[in-house]
Amino acid sequence: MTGVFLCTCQMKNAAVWAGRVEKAMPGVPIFSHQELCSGKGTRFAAARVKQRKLDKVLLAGCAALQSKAYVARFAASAGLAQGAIDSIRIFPSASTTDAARAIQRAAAGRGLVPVFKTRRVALQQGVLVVGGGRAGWETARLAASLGYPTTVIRKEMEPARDPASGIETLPGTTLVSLTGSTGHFSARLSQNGTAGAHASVGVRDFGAVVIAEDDWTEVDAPSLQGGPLVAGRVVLLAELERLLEGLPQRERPRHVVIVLDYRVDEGTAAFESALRTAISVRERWKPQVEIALRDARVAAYGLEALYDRASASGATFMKHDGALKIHASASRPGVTLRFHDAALSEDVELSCDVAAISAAGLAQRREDALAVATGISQDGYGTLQENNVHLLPTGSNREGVFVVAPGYEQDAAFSIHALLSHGTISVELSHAVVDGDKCVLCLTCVRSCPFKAMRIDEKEKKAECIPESCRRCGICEGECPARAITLPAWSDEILMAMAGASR
Amino acid sequence: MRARSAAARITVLLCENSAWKASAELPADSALRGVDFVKIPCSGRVDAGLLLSLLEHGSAGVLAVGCPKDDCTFLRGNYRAEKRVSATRAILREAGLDEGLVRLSFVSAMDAHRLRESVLDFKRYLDDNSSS
Repeated sequence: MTGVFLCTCQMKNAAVWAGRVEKAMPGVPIFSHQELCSGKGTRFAAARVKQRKLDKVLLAGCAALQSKAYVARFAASAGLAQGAIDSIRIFPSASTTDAARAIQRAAAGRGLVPVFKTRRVALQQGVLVVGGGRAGWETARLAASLGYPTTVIRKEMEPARDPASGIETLPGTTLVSLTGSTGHFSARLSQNGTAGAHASVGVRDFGAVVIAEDDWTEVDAPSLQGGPLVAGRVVLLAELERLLEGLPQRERPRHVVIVLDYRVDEGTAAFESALRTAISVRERWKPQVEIALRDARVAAYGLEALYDRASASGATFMKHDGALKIHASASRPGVTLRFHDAALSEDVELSCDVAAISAAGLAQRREDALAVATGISQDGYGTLQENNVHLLPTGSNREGVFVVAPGYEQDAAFSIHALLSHGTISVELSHAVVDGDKCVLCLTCVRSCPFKAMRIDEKEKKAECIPESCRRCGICEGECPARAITLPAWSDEILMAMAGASR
Repeated sequence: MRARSAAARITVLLCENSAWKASAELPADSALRGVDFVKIPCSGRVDAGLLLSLLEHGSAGVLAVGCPKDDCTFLRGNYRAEKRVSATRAILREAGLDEGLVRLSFVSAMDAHRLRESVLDFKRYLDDNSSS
């Protein structure tokens, strides 16, 4: 068993560095000490070597660790041969990432850790947007403006909103199935014919998929039906500051209402962003600011203090009973809010210039069919995107599939850009390996993989892992009843060695 | 499986996304002597085979620690772990052994105190039940 010792005397952010090295070399014990070359540091290391029964050691730090005298001293105190000790110099100017990579490369070069090959995977550039509501259309517009050929499909038969934008629009089309993985998805589309019969449009390939099945649209002409958003009057909370920034001083609203819990009860995150926006808007432009909410949620670190700061900045709070109505039209100025004030217990009519709705307050539709077609996990209400902090705001359990709610279009567009812009990605082949002799095609791994990274190799007659989708969690390895799956960096042997080394 | 002696050690499997980070915050503590912390990629990685072979190779008991229930980095790992740890306990029960030798708990990355508590609690349990 090999151990890596880091000397952190010259590194400013030692903990971050140690974390990076650990991440780069799973399964290798990493120890760090502030002064490895001192007597105390050497005793620390020697004790660890004996405790974990390490037979090879890699030292990383300043030049002192490379001196022959020190290596001899270390070897004597740890009871190792001098040949079992290697050292690598890390310059204090190196970033933690570079330093971690250098150590990983040194360890790999000396055969201390398993080395994985990498493979380049080409990425399709097309983007498929499912849903032609506000979020879908806005994401499509942004993706197209970043240069990705974009296709919008929507269930409704209405024509394209903006035919000049270069975005391909397929009205009356639904997504039937989505196979493939990051960068090369195959989407089977089905189109409603004029006679009402479904005709398959066929299979199309895309690099990324956006799911934005909300029916909230922005009314930008008096004749158009939509809502509840009205350009310049009823906006999303995330866009309020951008809207105010863009207006000349004379036209800036004097009275702004921030609406929380509009259709659905929201959490502390929405409350926090409402408070921050209210404080910022008050400080920058001094309009009258009211926050209408059903319940103030302060059960998170620092929220109570933030609430006090918002009050002190001049924002006022009103409690509605959850049935708040917003009346506004694009043709005339002003917004009217009608609700039952729970604190005053009377009906209130509130007029303001701009109302801002928090995006999480817009109820999303239950999307069971789409969840089945795409394999995207749902939350407790059946809406798409699982309620997991590691996915928010736009991630999903399939890498390359984004779930977008109104207000998060930019985030999604940048995520797509970050994924596709290089045209290829480099994938380390440390994914789960299936032993074809043991695999009985029971589909347990296909069912249990949260990331849809397992599939059946029809030719080889065994399960197979897609490296670019695999997140190296080991769930399939634990779940496989035939014990046919191994995650190479975390095999049973490595874990047993880690646990057993001290005995 | 040999009976627990004073020298037998406890294995604690820590999910690297939460509990492993919490373990970095643990103070040097004589109460935690005899406890081996082992990093695993996700609590969903544990299975009956691994847990039983750890016991077989001399662990006094195995405690797996994962992320809090709905905050798994890999979405479902800790639910899977829960299922498998309870299956392992059933195997131990059927073999006439103490099912408490294997345990699962959930802590977040900032809960070093809670991690310490659950490790000590497990240690106490093993100490109380080691005579049989």
